[in-house]
Amino acid sequence: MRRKHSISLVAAMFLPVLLTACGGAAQQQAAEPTPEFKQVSEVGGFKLPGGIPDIAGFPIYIPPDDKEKDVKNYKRGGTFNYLSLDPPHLDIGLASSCTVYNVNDMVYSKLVRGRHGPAEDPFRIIIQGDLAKSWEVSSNGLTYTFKLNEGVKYQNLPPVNGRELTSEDVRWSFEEYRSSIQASTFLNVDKIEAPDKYTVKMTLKEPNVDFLASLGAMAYIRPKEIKDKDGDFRKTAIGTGPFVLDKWTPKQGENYSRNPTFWEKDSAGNAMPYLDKANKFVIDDTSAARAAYRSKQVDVVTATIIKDAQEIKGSDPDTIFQSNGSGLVRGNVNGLLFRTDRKPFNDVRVRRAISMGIDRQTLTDTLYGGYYAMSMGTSWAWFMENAPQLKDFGPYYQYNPTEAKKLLAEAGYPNGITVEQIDWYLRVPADSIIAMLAEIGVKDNRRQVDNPTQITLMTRGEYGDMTAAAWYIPGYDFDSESYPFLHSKGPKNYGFYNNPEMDKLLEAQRVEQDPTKRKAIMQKIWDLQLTDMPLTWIPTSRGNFGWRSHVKNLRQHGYMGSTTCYTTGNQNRMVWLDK
Amino acid sequence: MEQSQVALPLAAAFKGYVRPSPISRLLDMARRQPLGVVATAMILAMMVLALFAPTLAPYDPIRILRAPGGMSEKPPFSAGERMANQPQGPMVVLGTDERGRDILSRIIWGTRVSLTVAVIAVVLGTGIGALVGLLSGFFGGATDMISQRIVDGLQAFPAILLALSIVAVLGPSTINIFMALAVIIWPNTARVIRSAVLSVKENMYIEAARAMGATPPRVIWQHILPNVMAPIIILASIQLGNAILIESSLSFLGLGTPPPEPSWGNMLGGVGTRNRLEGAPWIAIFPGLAISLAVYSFNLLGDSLRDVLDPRLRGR
Repeated sequence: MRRKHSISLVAAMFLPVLLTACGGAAQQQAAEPTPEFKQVSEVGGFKLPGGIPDIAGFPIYIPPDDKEKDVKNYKRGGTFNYLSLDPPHLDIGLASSCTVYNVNDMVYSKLVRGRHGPAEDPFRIIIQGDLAKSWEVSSNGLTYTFKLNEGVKYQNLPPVNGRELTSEDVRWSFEEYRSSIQASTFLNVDKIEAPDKYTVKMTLKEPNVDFLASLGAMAYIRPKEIKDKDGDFRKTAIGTGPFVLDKWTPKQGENYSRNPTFWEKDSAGNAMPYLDKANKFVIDDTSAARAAYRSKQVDVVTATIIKDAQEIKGSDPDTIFQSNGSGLVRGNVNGLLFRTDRKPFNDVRVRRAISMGIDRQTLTDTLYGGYYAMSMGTSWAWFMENAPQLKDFGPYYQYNPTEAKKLLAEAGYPNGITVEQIDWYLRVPADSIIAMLAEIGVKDNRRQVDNPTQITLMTRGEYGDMTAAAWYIPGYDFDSESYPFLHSKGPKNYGFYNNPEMDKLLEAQRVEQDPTKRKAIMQKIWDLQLTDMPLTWIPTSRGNFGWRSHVKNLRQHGYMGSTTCYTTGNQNRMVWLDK
Repeated sequence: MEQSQVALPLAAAFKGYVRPSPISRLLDMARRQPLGVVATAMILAMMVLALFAPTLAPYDPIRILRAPGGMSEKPPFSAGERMANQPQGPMVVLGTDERGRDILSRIIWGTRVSLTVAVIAVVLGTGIGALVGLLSGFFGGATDMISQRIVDGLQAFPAILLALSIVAVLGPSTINIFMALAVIIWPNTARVIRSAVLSVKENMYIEAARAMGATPPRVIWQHILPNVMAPIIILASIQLGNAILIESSLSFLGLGTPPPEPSWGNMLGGVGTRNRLEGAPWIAIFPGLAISLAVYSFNLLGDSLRDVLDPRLRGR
């Protein structure tokens, strides 16, 4: 009798589950409407890079609402809780991963920075002063003289103890960067001088129209005292930025509080930032991050695919979504970086074979529901009028498994190869790529690691044969997006790529003053990447960045990123909470 | 009374008795244990799936199916793959996952992983546990004390935590899962077998064998082991269900069979699976059902075997 009851009980449990599984099908049939793609050439009065489609309900640009338009409405106080990734350390001189960048952007200041905010152009980088209140450029374009804001104080923490920032700090920081991964920014700088307490003079070897933009990306001004005490900047961050780092708990997050001595004021003369506190949460698991948003533990959420964003909007209608613009013009981590200094990827045929073995159209249809962005790390928008489509990426980007196998055979691998891959960034398309490569005889032994480990291994070159591409954002100019990664001496050339032709082109674009000729060189650099393939790029999702409607002044920027990645301090300095 | 005076009436009482054939004994057992029959049938079906996966699975389990617009998250009974200049592929009976892979094919191939890991781990663990239990129970003394303290130590850890720790240290791979599961299984087996041995070794025939000069290995092998086989078999069948559950848990946590090779656990644990629970529940439900059915079958089988083999329960 007991057994019969157990059978009935089990059947009673299984049946509803089965019905749900099949019934989910019926639910899907009564589907949510698929958001429409609409080609737009401008949003909010700003001209967009050509050919970018906007998605109804998930716009690239959201203009300021009525409260955001007037600084008199801004409220002070409150705590902003956001999500981001876990840094391996805090030193922007060692890695320009957004995890490291985020902390630096909250705590430090730069000489100049990009304009950001709801009223700003979402795709143009317009440089404004940060620590520098003004600057002059000599008529020959070689000398830059910056005048610093006076009375800017470091955060009142030992060993810096709230002293005033001076031009010597700027000079010292920049000299430090010459032997870091930021070295390429300063390769063309002949001299950095601090003639008086508030003046910095930089003399270039050659004129460079992008020099200010390159300084505005990630050249944070850091105090010497930290390096004297700790030997590096890995553990401590004390700057002149809007927030003080109260606590960093690896794998969990950071806690910040308003810098009470922050020098910047808004247009009405009010002290900034407006927030009392900001807490960053590290929640790698997407489901857990979504649960944290729904339970209001955090105020922001990301949704890689439109369906997820629609579901979140359904359950949390006070969510505002903005389409992730930064992937539209430039790739970031959505590429496969090859170790080109040794077998098997020292042979371009093998690199091309891998690229041709990836069915990018199926990837986007399957993973992203067709909503994707495709670019290389070097943005096309610097020199092209319209966004290139997949077909414009040339023969080695078109799915052709037959040709791929042929190339492998020609390269001496008729029976296929086994490659070792270690990364974190490519975890979403990983299974799909592994399956696709298996079809052309490439066994991809991918090992997933966490984000800090990926950063560490990649910067050391200890990632096996291939890994995910890295961190083209936040270069603010073509040179920053190309030279460090592709030049044989580039500090971010993690693939050990060495092509004399590429080196020559990269050096030429740095010094070319004629814009038309420079664009022609950029095009050649682009084309060489497509054929010689130091990396192969994979479409990324038109993901969406969402936040609660009471969070004001929060926006992504198409080049500079978002709170999640790359513009944390720049954004959070102006964020206020309408509650 | 002479023996022949007893034997003749007894022989007369059994005259006409025909010893039942093995098949009729089996059928009789089946009649008395219908659930055992169901469980056996389900397990046999899983074994067939595992053995003939390449033939039975409609698609390659790691292949992303292609069709205009993609094949991601297609519900059960949707049309199959449709490629240019190719005939329509078979229907995706259980639907596709977020990557566009056929769920039925992945469950079929996942049966291989789950059963292989479970059987090897249980054979290993039960073998070790039985050996330890036999030696511990038979010899007693220091052997018993040392081995049982080790068993105590291992049993103090929650099973899944212990498995997790072992695999985390050794690295995720199928072989390391066997070892982790065997480490979990053997202590419990050793404990139960030791108790059975303690009971069996008090029988007169054991003493008789020893008095006749049988060596300890002979006594253990010829007299004790056959009499404790029943609990070994019962334990093993129940442990199979546990092993499947733990393997699935490890794979769910990313420490088991590495994707894209399918196992039921990693099908449940995929990021896409959990994110799409609302929009595409079949991605999670079918692998979950497979795990549940497998564990339930083995548990049922273990129950039935216990009813059949345990003399105290026989005839109930």
